[in-house]
Amino acid sequence: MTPDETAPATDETPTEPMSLADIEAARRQQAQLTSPEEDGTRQIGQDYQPALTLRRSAQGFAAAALRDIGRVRESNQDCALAMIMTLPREGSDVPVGLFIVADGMGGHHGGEVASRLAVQTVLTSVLERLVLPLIEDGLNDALQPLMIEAVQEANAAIWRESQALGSDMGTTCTAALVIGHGLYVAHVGDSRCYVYEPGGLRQLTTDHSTVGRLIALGQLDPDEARDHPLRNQLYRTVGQQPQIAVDFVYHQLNNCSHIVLCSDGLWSLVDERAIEQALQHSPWPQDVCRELIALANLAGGDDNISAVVVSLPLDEGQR
Amino acid sequence: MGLIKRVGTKAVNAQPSETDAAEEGTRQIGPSAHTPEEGTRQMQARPLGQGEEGTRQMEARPVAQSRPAAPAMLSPGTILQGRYQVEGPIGIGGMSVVYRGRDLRFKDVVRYCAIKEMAQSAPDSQTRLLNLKNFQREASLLATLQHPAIPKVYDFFEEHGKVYLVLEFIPGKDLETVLEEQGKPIDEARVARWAVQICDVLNYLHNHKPEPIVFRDMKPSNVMVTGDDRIVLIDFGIARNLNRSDRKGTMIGTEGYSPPEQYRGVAEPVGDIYALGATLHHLLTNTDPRLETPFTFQERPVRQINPAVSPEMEAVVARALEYDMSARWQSAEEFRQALLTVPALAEMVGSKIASPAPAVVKGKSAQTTELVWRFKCEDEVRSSPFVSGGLVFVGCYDTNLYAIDAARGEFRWKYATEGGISSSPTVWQDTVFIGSEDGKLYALDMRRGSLRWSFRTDKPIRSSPRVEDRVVVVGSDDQHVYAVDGMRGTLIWKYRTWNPIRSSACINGTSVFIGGDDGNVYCLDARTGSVKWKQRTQQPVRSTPAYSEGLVFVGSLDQNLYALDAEGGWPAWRFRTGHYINSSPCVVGTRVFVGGVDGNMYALDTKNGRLVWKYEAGSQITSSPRVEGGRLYFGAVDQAVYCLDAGSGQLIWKYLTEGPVVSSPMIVNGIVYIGSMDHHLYALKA
Repeated sequence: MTPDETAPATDETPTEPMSLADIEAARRQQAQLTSPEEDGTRQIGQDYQPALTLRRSAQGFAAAALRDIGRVRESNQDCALAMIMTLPREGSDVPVGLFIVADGMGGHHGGEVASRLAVQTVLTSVLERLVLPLIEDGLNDALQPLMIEAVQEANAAIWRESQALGSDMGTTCTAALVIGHGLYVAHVGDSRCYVYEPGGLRQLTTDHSTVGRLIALGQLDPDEARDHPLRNQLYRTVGQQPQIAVDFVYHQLNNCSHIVLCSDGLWSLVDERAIEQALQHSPWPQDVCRELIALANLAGGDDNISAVVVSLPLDEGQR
Repeated sequence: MGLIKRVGTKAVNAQPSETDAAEEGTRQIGPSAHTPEEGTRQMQARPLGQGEEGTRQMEARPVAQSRPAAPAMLSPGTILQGRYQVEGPIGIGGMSVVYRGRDLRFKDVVRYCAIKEMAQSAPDSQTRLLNLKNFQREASLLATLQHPAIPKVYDFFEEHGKVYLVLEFIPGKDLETVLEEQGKPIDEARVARWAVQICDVLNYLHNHKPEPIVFRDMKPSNVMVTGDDRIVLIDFGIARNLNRSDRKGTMIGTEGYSPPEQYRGVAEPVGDIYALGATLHHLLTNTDPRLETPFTFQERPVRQINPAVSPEMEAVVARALEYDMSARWQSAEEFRQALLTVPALAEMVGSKIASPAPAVVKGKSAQTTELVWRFKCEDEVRSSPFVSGGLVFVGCYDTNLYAIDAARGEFRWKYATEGGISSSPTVWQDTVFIGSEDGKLYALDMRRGSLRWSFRTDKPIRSSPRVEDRVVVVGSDDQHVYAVDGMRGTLIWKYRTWNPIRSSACINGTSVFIGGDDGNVYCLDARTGSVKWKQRTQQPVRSTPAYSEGLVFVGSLDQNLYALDAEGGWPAWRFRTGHYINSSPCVVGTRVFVGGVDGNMYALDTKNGRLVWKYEAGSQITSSPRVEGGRLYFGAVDQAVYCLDAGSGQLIWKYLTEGPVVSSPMIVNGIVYIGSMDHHLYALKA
């Protein structure tokens, strides 16, 4: 068919503003009346599409990343990124999101350099190995090695840079990739990734701090840990060793409403119940980010604060 | 050097200026309970030890990284007290520098000594005072001790505002250096001999009167070994009398070696036992605990890294490394006795030792199981049995589908197709379905074996039929996936690929997952046969997919086990084995099990593909594992049927048939049913 032949022949198209109920009624009628392929258009699948009026969204796939210097530090060594896009796949297209928090450390601006380099390297890897191949041909890489190697590349890049500069810089790096309902997290350090489910906030990552590990082993009480002199000591970071192991977590997002990534400047000062409340206060990720950062600053703001908040598509009544 | 020193503070500038900034009131939004110091982040492989104690272990040798405020070192030739001539530094630590010196009072002979100089580089006077206090305590402590494995103190003095301790010079190397020079794990017998000596000196310290002394910093670099393999502990910088009333001490020691309770400020003698365990683990495996995730010794047993070590030694070390203080060896003496029973030492010591032997998990001699019955067919049984309604159904290369009484192994009926049967039967309601090399899919009455219908494809059927909601899905060598009405044998839909389909379908809701010899894994719409997605692997996929919690697990001849996202097919992770994967994965909870042609049975974490355990059968595994009651069953080409503990991968039993076992087991009512190429169908006690 050439474009000319499909030109509107009746006065009902192009579509004028209609109420939702009218659209739904018309859609149903069409599905009943039209036999397939008779008029050259494809049939509207009755079974496959629930009624429009039943499918309104309470919230959509949206994200915000926000950083704050805090009230004590002289510079902001955190780096955060949020990116959302839609990519083609055989049948239907797929929403994809990449979210990263990196919390840098090391004097003489080393921390800033390291955290930025981490975000830049992971983003580049994901674009080159996931996004472009998905558009061009199809995905050959598995996502787990892709995400792990992206963080390992960041490690190598920072290590090279620090060797050249004679610096001791390093960073944490928590990178979360969302494809469809799958969440793929690569993680090093003590920044965190949470998902918010009907049962509450769930921490997906493990802090790579000795104190965190002792708590996990039941050898240290979380209360004792709050003021532990070594609570900030990490045993694994990005960029301070030639090679590193990267944690990987896969999670099904089926009933999750939000993903939260944050640096320790947030989670060490704002407890999980407060984070949950902030998520309920607004459907907009940027509002939640602002609230979380305000809470951390009210509690002292003794470190840089980063928060990435992602809202996931939810139908009305699901929230 | 083995230690990668990572120093980094998340505080941006020097601490004092930051403090000032906060005090000036800049960026003060509201009341803050947190002092700036608390925000400091330490990024180190070991603690700074800048706490209340203020001390820190001394390095055995220079740190690679240059320190900005390196203390001025004594130049060679400097003479202290008119008696000790400095020859050169042999060790630099955070709090002290150690030089080799010569005692000039012995004019005719060369008598060496170790001169330890307290470095006073701390910026504030309070820390300096603490350092001095600790240095003095080390000197006093050493002066009261007498043991061949503890250096003697010769002198203690102050000169030019610096404090010095003169010690016995120990000619030799510390164990960290020994390990680094060797570059591989140290021989068990040698480690055991050192360990016995270390236990001996720890026993001496722990029984010190009036109060036990806890060394608190046991690690390879604090143990010297002399030319004649004699052990001497060095650096008593943080050792101290145990004062149990003061339990809330500050964490001190070396991360990687220190026991968990030391992070709660608890320093008991059993902490030294743990640290010695960590030291032995390091020496026996050559894996530096400072570079590993803390407290993972339990997950990295010695023999997993170095199989040359005896199980006895592994068990002795493992017990020292228990998190729970009361589960460790309770004294250095008990530890020593246990060490004397490891094979490397027991041979020398002979049988005179009468000590409680440690609990040792030995490589058990393979147990077998009981044969319930076996049934002889006329050719190889490659097909996997299906049990339903008290009957076992199995196909055979002799062209028959057999129905056998599940309890007694008696023949009930057989149905002859026109080709051998290598695919496996399945039952839906009272119909049993089977595919044959003759290209047909048969539906038979389960009780009588009479034909209900057959469905013809153009090439042999090696894929096994699967039924869901009356729809039978099966693949054929004619390159199609077929969906057939289970009641009438009529075609519902077919889907064309470009190579034979030998994988079997996994049906989940409206999705059918199936592998193709074209290397794709297909997700088809169960209602229409239209493709939802396909995902490429590098080689044919003959393994049958398994679905669990949003992931589809499937093996490929490209040697990988894939976990594909059920929604879009993209690989969440993949795990590479050493050869083809023909076996179909089995998922239980958070574990996925799969056999490899490389001879291993793998247990992986479903979420990330991490290896939980693997069992080396040593022979090709194409049989698919099944789990029942915490046990994992499968067959191998070495003619054996295996039963493993699904949690640990330990062998429970192994039953030998007389031919390779490529059939997959089905377990019902405590009986394992499996076919063998020795022409038999076996029923074994699970």
